[in-house]
Amino acid sequence: MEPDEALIERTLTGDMTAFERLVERHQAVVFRTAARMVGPAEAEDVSQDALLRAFHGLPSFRRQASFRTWLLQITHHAAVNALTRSRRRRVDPAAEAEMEEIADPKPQPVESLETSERRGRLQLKLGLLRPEYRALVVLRDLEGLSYDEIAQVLDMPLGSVKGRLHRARGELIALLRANTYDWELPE
Amino acid sequence: MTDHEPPAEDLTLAERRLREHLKVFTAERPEPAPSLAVAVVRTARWQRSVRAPLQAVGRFAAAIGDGLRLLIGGRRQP
Repeated sequence: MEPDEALIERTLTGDMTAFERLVERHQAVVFRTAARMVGPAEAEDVSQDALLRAFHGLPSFRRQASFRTWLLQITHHAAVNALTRSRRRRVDPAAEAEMEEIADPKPQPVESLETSERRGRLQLKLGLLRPEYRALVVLRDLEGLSYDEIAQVLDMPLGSVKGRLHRARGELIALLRANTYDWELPE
Repeated sequence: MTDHEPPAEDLTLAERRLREHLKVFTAERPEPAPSLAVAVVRTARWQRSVRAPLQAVGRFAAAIGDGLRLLIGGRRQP
């Protein structure tokens, strides 16, 4: 597999097939992160925005971090911008996400329906966290990034990541504990 | 580290429980539509093709503005 570095160099010389390879390679993590940050309804727009910003910003990519980390940093900014716009429109993306998942018209077995509903409720609770805390939980607990990578993506001191992550998890736990059904279910 | 396994670390009992909850997300991950990459590359192509001409127009307009400022500034001087 051709390394990201080589694809970046080729993209910078105008080779769009190289950029296409980069997009195909990284679109899944970009989309997942966007979906968990803004909800599935806006994830596609946020992903497209982030990938295009990366394309235009590629000449200024300093290579101090990996391409994936840099791309997730752009995705995070795009997601926060989308959340700010959503707040202005007084729309709750997490609530929208829940409605989308719960109102899925496809017939599903009972177990799948339960899981889908749980996922919707959890997405709603995740959406109640402030964007920084939401990003910390998504990047660490769902995407498995290292503290160092998270510090770069969120542009925060490495020493702060662990403490803030602990607080973010604490808030999410408190939100889940507020409803016994939500907290006890996975047993 | 893979995308599918949360990293190992010292967790409190409640945090471990939270990890269990979050497994509903890691079990089924949202996937982008197959059209996403196509749409991104197509948009990047046309944005790149209009970017250079737009930048040239912008530079031209800025140069005219600078020239006019110089002219007007020069006339005002005694």
